[in-house]
Order: sequence, then structure tokens, then C-alpha cells
Amino acid sequence: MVATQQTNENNQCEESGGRPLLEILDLSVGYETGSGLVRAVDHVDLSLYAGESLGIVGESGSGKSTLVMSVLRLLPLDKTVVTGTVLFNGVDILRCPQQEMARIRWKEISIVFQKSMNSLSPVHKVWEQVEDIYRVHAPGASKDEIRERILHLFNVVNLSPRVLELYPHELSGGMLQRVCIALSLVHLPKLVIFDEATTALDVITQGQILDEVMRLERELKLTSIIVTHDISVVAKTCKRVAVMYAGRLMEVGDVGTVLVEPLHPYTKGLISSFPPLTGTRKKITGIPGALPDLKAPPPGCIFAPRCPEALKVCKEKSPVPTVVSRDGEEHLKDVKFGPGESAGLRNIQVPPIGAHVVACHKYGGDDA
Amino acid sequence: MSGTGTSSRPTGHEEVLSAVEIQKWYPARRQILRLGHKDGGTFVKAVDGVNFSLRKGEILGVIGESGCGKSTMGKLLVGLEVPTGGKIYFQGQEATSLLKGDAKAFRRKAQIVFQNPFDTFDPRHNIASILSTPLKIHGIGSSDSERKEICCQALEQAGLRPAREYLFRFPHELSGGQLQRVSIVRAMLLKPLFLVADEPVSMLDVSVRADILNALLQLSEESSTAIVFISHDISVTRYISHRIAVMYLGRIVEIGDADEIISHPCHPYTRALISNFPSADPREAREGIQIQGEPPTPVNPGPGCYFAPRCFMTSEECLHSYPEEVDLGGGHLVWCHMVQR
Amino acid sequence: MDENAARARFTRSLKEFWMAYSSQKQAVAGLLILLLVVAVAFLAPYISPYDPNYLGDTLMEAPGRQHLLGTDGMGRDVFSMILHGTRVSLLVGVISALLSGMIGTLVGGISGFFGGTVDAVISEIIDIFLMLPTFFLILIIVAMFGSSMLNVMIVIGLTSWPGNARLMRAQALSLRERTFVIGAKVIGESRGSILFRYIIPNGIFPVIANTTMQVASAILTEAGLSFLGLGDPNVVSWGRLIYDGRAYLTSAWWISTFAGMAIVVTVMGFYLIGDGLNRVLNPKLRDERQ
Ligand SMILES: Nc1ncnc2c1ncn2[C@@H]1O[C@H](COP(=O)(O)OP(=O)(O)OP(=O)(O)O)[C@@H](O)[C@H]1O
Ligand SMILES: Nc1ncnc2c1ncn2[C@@H]1O[C@H](COP(=O)(O)OP(=O)(O)O)[C@@H](O)[C@H]1O
Ligand code: SF4
Ligand code: SF4
Ligand SMILES: [Mg+2]
Ligand SMILES: [Mg+2]
Repeated sequence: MVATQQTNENNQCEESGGRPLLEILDLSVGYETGSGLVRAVDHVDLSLYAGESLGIVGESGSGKSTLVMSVLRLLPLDKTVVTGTVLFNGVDILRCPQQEMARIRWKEISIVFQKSMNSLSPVHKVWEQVEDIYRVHAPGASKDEIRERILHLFNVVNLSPRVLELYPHELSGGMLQRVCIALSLVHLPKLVIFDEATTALDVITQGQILDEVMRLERELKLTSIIVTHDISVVAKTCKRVAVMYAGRLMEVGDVGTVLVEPLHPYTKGLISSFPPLTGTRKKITGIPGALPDLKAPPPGCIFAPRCPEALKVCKEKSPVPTVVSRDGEEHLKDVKFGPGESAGLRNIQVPPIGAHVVACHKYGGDDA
Repeated sequence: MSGTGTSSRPTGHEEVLSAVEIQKWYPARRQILRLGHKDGGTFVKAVDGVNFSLRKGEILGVIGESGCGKSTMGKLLVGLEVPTGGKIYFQGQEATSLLKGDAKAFRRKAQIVFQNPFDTFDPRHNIASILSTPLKIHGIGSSDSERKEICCQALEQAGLRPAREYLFRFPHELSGGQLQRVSIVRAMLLKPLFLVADEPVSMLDVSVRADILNALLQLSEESSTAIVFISHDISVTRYISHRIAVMYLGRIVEIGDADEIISHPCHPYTRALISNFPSADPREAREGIQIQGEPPTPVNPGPGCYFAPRCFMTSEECLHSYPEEVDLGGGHLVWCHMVQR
Repeated sequence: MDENAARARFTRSLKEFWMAYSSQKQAVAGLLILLLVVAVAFLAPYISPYDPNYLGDTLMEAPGRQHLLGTDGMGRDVFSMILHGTRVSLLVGVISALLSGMIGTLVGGISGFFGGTVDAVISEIIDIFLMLPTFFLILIIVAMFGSSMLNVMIVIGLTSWPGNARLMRAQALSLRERTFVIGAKVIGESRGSILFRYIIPNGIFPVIANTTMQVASAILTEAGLSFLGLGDPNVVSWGRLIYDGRAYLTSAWWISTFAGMAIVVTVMGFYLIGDGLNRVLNPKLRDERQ
């Protein structure tokens, strides 16, 4: 364990002996379709320490949702091919028994989707549905107990108690999303995942919900993953960011580093797609081209066909994720980080907290 | 500014479009008996008295929350809805009577680019047919081959090269970004006076948005077409616009130079809107101004300031009368009791 | 090169259509039946052993070597009559269904696309037509205007369009909200050309499927009319055969029975095709497949 590398300010990760709360190790997910296997997630390594907030960004179709769905084991079994390991608090998520998974879902890891509100039944009052959902995981709970808990959470997410007596169609999109966030917090999970949870909302509502999420993280000591295509959401709310493209991780690091001084050409392109709100107006360029066909990905770096900085080697060899220092110099490249002992795995890199990882030949990625 | 009642109006130099007190009220419920239709019923006041004018080559951004009437205003401008009050003038010509008298002439002046590029074109028509149809309707080009030539040129100009690659493809064979480009090309083939772009990038992948925005910018520069750019994305709107209008419940509450509005917003609503908009630069993190409540629906709002129920600066006055226009100079107008001249 | 590519694409989409269609066993069976019936209709004069109007010497002869399906009360060969009857039944079925399809498409398209008062009035008319006892209406009209083949076809067409109109109206109602239709308005297309160039071509598939099924019901209606003695007396149709054979049902069952079987098989063929087309062309069912 390279404990000396840890530059964390929070003491939470001490509890788990310095191990990340969530470790995704060499995870690949493919969807079987009539015309071939869609490689939606391709050899992803990612870890998240307790108390961190991680943003996963990338354009649509880059596999963000697939990645978080596999963390919850919510993918359709018959149509997906999943390899690799997901360790949550030492539990092997992909292989643990069904009952254990049912316990972990919602109680330890919960998720809020963009369309979560659609899952509420239109013909039942919010209160009836909240009660039902609560009872699924706490069958013995009394009505008063549930009401007290729910009202507390409603207060936390800025909802008036009156909402309980309304039907879903009487609520606005923002209010519904708040109900869903409150529901996801019912059992004080260790990890909450927001998959485009604020994407469909108005600026003001989104701003308010993001502020609430940040407050919750502080007050309830939540660990969160925010999945979005909008880097400004991540810039506002997260400590760390993972940039994903076509199923692979391009760059992972602290928000202040990755979004301010990006190293990976894809990250640079993505950031340059968002015009700044203030300051001088610079011409934004975006990234010409489109996502490759994930059924037949190009050899080498998956971003090479669109990369303005591509080298010759890029079309031949896939770059290896490498830990780099702040100035972009590669180092630590032959340090092997702690193996996932509990799963009996060897030689799997788990970068230390705060590490900046880049998968690009320009930054030592050709070191196989 | 009030409706003059005549069908023409003196125009300022280079003014291509002006909207005077335009309104679109939808009856809130289907009225079975048309009794009291004049003033008794309830109305959804989607657009409720909007004034602005647009100069040649100018890009006006329109921002505001969902349901505040942006799209309805866009539809009024291109004649997809008929205003229930007020007048729109194209270079001094009254638009509604033009639409009634010579629909084709109207259509040539006002074009629109829609939000959803995947549904903008008939799936059964190929790009060649999609682009040559408006030319045929308006009698541009004397033969099919000449029209095809015009289409090719327009495609290439818009960066869809080589044009022949695209002409015989069907919409489902193009990406969202390419389709949106074709949509812009089609609108521009008619050399309109102005173009309404209703959230033209919100359904596109983030990485290709810049491309469409730059295409619109280039177009307004080259052909001096005025553009009304509707969006809920404030930074994108600032990027593309010369001026920005902020709408709330069917009315413009603040309008002015784009940078001025973003850096010195005066209306409480604009301030809340901008402060809650996250910046892509983590160093610019700031706390959003909290405002209470959800955006209400525009069913008979008023009589006071429409924003009063959610405003953090409300005073007694706000509840009784709708604020008058306050001119802050340099074309910066605000409608708020608490803003001093 | 471009036109070729376009043609290749067209062929490809035809191929896709055929793949989807042919993956349904019943639909293929229906198509085989249709091919058989059409072939018979064309080849009837060449494959019939006798002239259907030739009055032979042996009356009511049971099916056997001489007369495959026997003879009727006037000595005519039943097999030859059924073969020739194919033409009449098919013609009546197809023409009246086409008429019904065209009226339905036009009326439904106008109603759904124009909306407002036009829609309210047309919907009311459609509802009234749907409530009328159609067969009874046909009876009255035929009784009044005579029962020539042409009359029969027109009457069936004129009474069966409301179903198609309802289908087309629903399509038009949803199509007119689509961006591409609104866009067509903005580029200056007239209402008529929007209807014919955008609404009808995109919304007609359910009508096509339904019209195919209507061929089946038109054949049945014609048979019913003939059975009641209201068919065209100058032509041999399956319904007429059954009508004629009715009197001999106890003594010469074959006269009515085989004609009845011909109807059942043909009707089933059209029904199966219609159902298959519906599965392939109906947008709702199609989306589910994908
Ligand atoms: N045809 C209609 N009949 C009745 N009410 C309508 C109609 N069209 C729009 N409205 C109402 O008018 C108001 C403004 O709608 P509009 O679509 O213009 O909003 P918008 O600002 O474009 O919102 P968004 O950002 O969600 O696109 C809404 O309250 C809407 O419900
Ligand atoms: N159920 C599915 N069947 C087949 N392919 C799928 C399915 N869900 C997602 N995909 C494909 O997997 C890739 C990643 O999708 P997704 O994880 O939803 O991306 P994101 O959330 O980043 O937009 C895309 O190419 C998408 O088309
Ligand atoms: S590896 Fe090469 S192609 Fe890939 S991002 Fe780096 S420079 Fe570009
Ligand atoms: S007029 Fe009053 S209520 Fe309206 S925005 Fe200004 S301060 Fe707020
Ligand atoms: Mg997603
Ligand atoms: Mg809109």
C-alpha cells in the first residue's frame, strides 16, 4: 500500500483500511445485438474512496450509464456479457448471491435516473408510494416512523410536506426529481449514483438540486457518483472526474486539475465544446467526427480517428492508463498498487487517492 | 410602443423585424359554450405582450425557464401560430396580413430550424429531394439540374463535402449534427430575412454542438441574416448572441447587450438564472441565488409583477402593478420596480 | 454513381421488408394462396375441362372421373365453374377494397390533418357510417339500382371505407404534430401537397394492411349478395354457385360445398397477407420489433 501517496484531507477512508469504497477492476460490458457485440464498457479501472464525489462525463453513448448499471448489477443478464470485477466495500458485486445484492441495492448503493420520475405510478399519491418503497427494505416499519423519516428527508431536499398528499402529475419535474432523491436517501446508503439526474431540469431547479446534493454530501457524509454529459455540472459539484469515451476511460483526476489543465486530447476537445459563461469570447471548436461503431472499434486508441494530436503509434497500439504528475510528466508507472486481495486478484493497479491517470500515448500510455 | 393600427410602420435603418406587443393566449379549457369568450374565460398566456426589434445580421438570444413561452414566440415569428394580439412587422410590412395575402412571400422571409434534427425531415425523402423542394415551391432555379447544382453548392458551403456523397442519402443515414446542418442549409436556400433557431443544439452530442453554433455564426456574418436563437443554455446563448432577451411567463423582463446581461444582470430573475448556471470552469464555482417555488404556469398571471411570488426582492408595489420599462442606457431595458434608472 | 447507390438502397429496403415478411409462416402461406388464386383466375379458360356455361347431359353427377367436382342441376361442370368464378370474386374483392381504401385514405387524411370543424364533421359522418347495418344498406341499394357487377363493387366500396378512414385519421392526427410536417409548412408547401406528399405516404401502411383484409370481406359480401340472389345474374361467381346449389343441398351437396371451400381458402389467404403486412408495416408493431 502506498500510503505515503495519499494526500487526502478526509479521514473516512481510514475506516476501510485505506482501501477504496468502490473498486472497478478491468470491467468490460458488451451488449449482444443481432449484428454483433456492442462494447459499451471496455477494460475500465476506476476506484472511489469513501467521502469522494466522482463525476463521470462523456458524450452520449460513451458507456457512462452502462458502467454505473453494472455497479448495481442492473443489466439484463441474457443480453449482456460482463467480465472483470466490481468490489464494493470488499464485496464482489458481480458474483455475490442474489439476496446479498438485493440488500446492497438501495440500502448501500442507490441510484437516481434522469427519468426516475417516470417510475412513479400516476394513480397513487406520493405518500402511498413512498410508504411502499420504504417497506420493501424495512418491512417492520410503522407508519409514524416512516412518515417522520420521510418528512426529515423532504426537508433535506427542500420539499414541503404537502407534497406527500399529491399525485405525481401534480408535481413539476424538479419536485418529482427531489422526491426521487429523497427516496434514494431513505436508508442512508454509502454510495449514491445520479445518472443524468438533473439533465432534463431547468437551470434554476438544476442549480438548486446540485446545491442540495453538495450539502447532503457534507452533512450525511455521502459518497456520490454524478454521471452527466455536462462538464459544468461536474465542475460545480465533484472533487474527482473520470472522462469516458466510447467505453474507455480517457482521463481520471481531480476536477481542479483535469478540467483546468486537461492532458488528454479528448478531455481538451470536450472542454472546448463548452463556451465559457464569462470572460472573453473565444471560438469554441468541439470535436469533429462522431463516435466509432462500438461493434467494430478501430484498432489502437479508440479516439484516434477524431484526435487532432494523433501519432503514428495511436492507430496501432491501445494506450495504457498511466499515472502522471501534475505537470504531465509520467511517473509511478511501474508502481503496482494494492491488489484486490479479497477477490484473490493479483497485479491490479489501484491508483492512490488524488492520482491523475491518463490513457494516451503522449503521456506514457505506450508502456505496456 | 403601442400598436398603431395601420398596416405599415416607419422602419429604422436596417431593421428587419419588429414585434409590437405580440400576444398568444390559448384558452385554458376547451370552452363548450363560447360565451364570455372575450374577457371572461381563463387563458394560458404563453406570450403576453412582447416587444423587440431585430437589425440586419443581428443575433438575439432568448433565454428563460421551460414553459416561459420561448417556442411559442418563435412560432409566432415564423407564422406557425397567429398572434391573438399585437403585430409583427417584416421590414415594415405587417406579417399576418402578408401571410394571408401572399403566403409564399411570407415563407421566404421567415424560416426556422427545429430542436429535433432527427424528426425535421420526411424519412422517405432523400436529401436531394428535401433540399430541392423549397426551391421548386418558390420557383428558384429553372430546371431540376440547376436546382441540384444550387443544392450541391449550398451543402458544400455548409461543410458537407463532397455534396454528392450526401444528396442521395436518407435522413436516417446522417448523424444528428449533419442533419442539423442540412436543416440550416434548407432554411437558408430561401435567403430569408431572419431565422428562428429553437434550441438547435440541445439534442445534439456535446462535441458537435460547437460545429452547429459556428455554422450559424458564419451564416449570419456572410448573408447578414438575423437570427432569433432560443435556448435554455446560457453560456451557449452568450457565445452566439449580440443581444439577449430574458423571458419570464410570456414577457421579456430584461433585454440588452449579451455580455452586459451576463456580467451585470439587473432583474432579480436574470440574476437567479445566471447565478444558478454552472460554469465549466471549477474555479468559477459560485453559490446560486435561491428562489422559492417552481415556475408557475402562465394561467392569468398578475396583476403585479409576474415574478413576485418567487422574487427575493419583492416589495409592496410589486404585488399591485406590473413594472414599467426602465432604460439603463445602451439598449439595456429592465422591467422591475426595484431597479433604478 | 449516386443514382445507383439510391437504387441499391431501395433494393436493400425491399429486401429488409421481404425478410421481415417472410419470417412469418402464415403470411407466406397467405401469399402462396394468393399466387395460386391469381394464377387460376388468369388461366381459367385454359385449365377448365369444360365451358362453364355448357349444359351437359348428366345432371347432378357426383364428383368422379368425368367431372372432378361433379355437375350441377343443369349439367354444368362445377370444377370449371369454380375456376371461372375465381375471376369474378377476385375482381369484386380487389376493386371494391381499393375503392374503400382510396376513399378512406382521402377522407381520413383530410379529417385528421385539417382538424377543427372539418374533422368534427367528418368524424361524425364516419361514426354514423360505422353504426349503419352495412349489409342491409347494400341490399337496399342493390335492390334499388340493380345488381350489375359494377354496382356491386361500387356499393361494397362505398360502404366499407369508414374503417380505413378511422385508421388514416389517427395516423394523420399524429403525423401533423411531427416536426417534418410543420417544417413542410414553413418552407411553403400548400395544405394539399402536405396531405399528399407527407401525410398520406407516411400514414398509409395500416390502411394497406387493412385494405388487404377487406378484399376478403368484400369477397364474402359479394358471395352473400349472390347467395341471396342479388348478385349479377349474368356472371358465374362463387356466391352464385352456392345460391344455385342451395336447392340441391340434400341431393347434390358438392355444388355448394366446393364453392364454399374456394371462398374460405381465398378469404383466408387475403386475411393472412393482411395480418402479415400489418405486422411489418404498422408503425407501432414495427417499433416493437426493432
Ligand atoms: N397549443 C397550445 N395550447 C395551449 N397551451 C399551449 C400551447 N402551446 C404552448 N402552450 C403553453 O404555453 C406556454 C409556453 O410554451 P412554450 O412551448 O412556448 O414554452 P418554451 O419556453 O418553449 O418551453 P421549453 O423550454 O420547455 O421549450 C406553456 O405553459 C405551454 O403549456
Ligand atoms: N440495451 C442495450 N442494447 C444494446 N446496446 C445498448 C443497450 N444500452 C446501451 N447500448 C449501447 O451501449 C453504448 C453505451 O450506452 P450508454 O451506457 O447508455 O451510454 P451513455 O450513458 O454514456 O450515454 C451505446 O453504444 C449504446 O447504443
Ligand atoms: S493516444 Fe493518440 S490518438 Fe489517442 S488520444 Fe492520445 S494522441 Fe490522441
Ligand atoms: S418588480 Fe418586484 S417582484 Fe418583480 S422582479 Fe422586481 S423586485 Fe421582484
Ligand atoms: Mg446515459
Ligand atoms: Mg420550447
